[in-house]
Amino acid sequence: MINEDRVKELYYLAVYESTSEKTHKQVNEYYVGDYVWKEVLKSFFSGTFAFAGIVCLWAMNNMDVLLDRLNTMDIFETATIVVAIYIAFMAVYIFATVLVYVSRFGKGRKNMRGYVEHLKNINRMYNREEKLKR
Amino acid sequence: MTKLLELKDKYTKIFATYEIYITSVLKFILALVTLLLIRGNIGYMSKISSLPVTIIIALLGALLPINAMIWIFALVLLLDLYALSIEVAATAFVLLAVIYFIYFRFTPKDGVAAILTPVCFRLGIPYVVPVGTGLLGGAFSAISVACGTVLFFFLDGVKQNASVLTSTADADTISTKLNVTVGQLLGNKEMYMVLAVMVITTVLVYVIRRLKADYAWSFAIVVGIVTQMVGLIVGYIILGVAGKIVMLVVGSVISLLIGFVIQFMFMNLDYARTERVQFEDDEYYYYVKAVPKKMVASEKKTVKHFGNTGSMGKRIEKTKNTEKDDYISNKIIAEELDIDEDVLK
Repeated sequence: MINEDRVKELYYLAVYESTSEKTHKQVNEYYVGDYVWKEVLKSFFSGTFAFAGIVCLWAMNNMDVLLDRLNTMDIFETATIVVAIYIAFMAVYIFATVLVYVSRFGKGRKNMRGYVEHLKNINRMYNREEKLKR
Repeated sequence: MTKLLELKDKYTKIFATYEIYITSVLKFILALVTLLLIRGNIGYMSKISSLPVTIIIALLGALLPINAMIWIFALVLLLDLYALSIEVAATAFVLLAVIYFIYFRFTPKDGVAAILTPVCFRLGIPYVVPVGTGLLGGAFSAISVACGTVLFFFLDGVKQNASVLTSTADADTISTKLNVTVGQLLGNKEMYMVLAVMVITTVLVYVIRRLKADYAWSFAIVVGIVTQMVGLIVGYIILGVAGKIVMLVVGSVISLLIGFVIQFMFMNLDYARTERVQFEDDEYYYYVKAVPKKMVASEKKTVKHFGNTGSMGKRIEKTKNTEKDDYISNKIIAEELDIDEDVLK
């Protein structure tokens, strides 16, 4: 006969495994600090590309001015301004990354705990059945 | 109200039963509406924006995840803009790359919000998006709304400057085209104003709807719509585009109604029956506030029996009737009906 309680528990496990396991798998593999640092590292590259894109758009918009002033431009001063804006942009980008991924880690940990509870329940059920068989 | 609740219950059950099919149909509708809007506004490549191709792409979108749909829309956009001008396509490519690095990094699961934002802008009801995402999503959904808003203003600017952007290519024209394409985006004060109002509204709605106060969702909807109306009216007056205020008010009223429909569907609580209970265990003392959902008892079907129904519902064994069994059953039926047994022979 079908054990309804066990089916319910197995359903929870299957739902978690099919939807959230991939997303929250890393939660089990990393400490919060390592997990966030890993994401910050990824964000460093993606943020740099995003900034390059924005600079590219700005350059497209001001191409005439740039070409006119190319010979007279103080390269060092321009580079300093660009780097300062880049640092400010990256600070915001990385701060957002930390906020998002700390929150995601917390959510993943909570879901993982729920999953483990269901896993324990299943284990108890199997143990009980084994004892009854003996 | 009861009738509405009954309808909601009925449609929820239908949705639960045919979830796979209904989700696909909804995705198809979303893809079709988006593609038709692209076709109607910037459908410069006749091959990709023809009606049969649009329908085929929409059908394909119905089978794919939302984020895959976003990739398809991006490709269609780029092809259409390429047909208009290679400079516009190049700018769009860079802009989409920037959006990609922001959107997919932070809110990759908010694809619906990212698609719906430009679509609702075109339909004249963009005010529903910050309210909807604030109610159903998280605070970071504001990023999706922001990406969608930027994309809408870019495409709208391209549409408005299409005549300048289609002129023949020489060195000066290329420079002008780039100036027009990027300038209408980066120098668009209205876009910055709308962007700020929408992001603030999304976060505000999210914060208010999470409050433990009664009617938090209703309050969040009203505050969201009022914030947008006030913010945008002030902004439009400062920018000198007061002509948009009438449409803003109409769109806000429609968005308010849609906001309440969303609330009805997802968080319909009966605050009049709120219960407050207190209990404790070994480690904590609990103060619990429980707010029941508004629900209707499922309709009970009454079956009325006519005549003698004492044996109804009883299982009748399908065995081969012997002559004796026939005799007994005839006897019982005759007794039940109060007639002569011989009549049944």
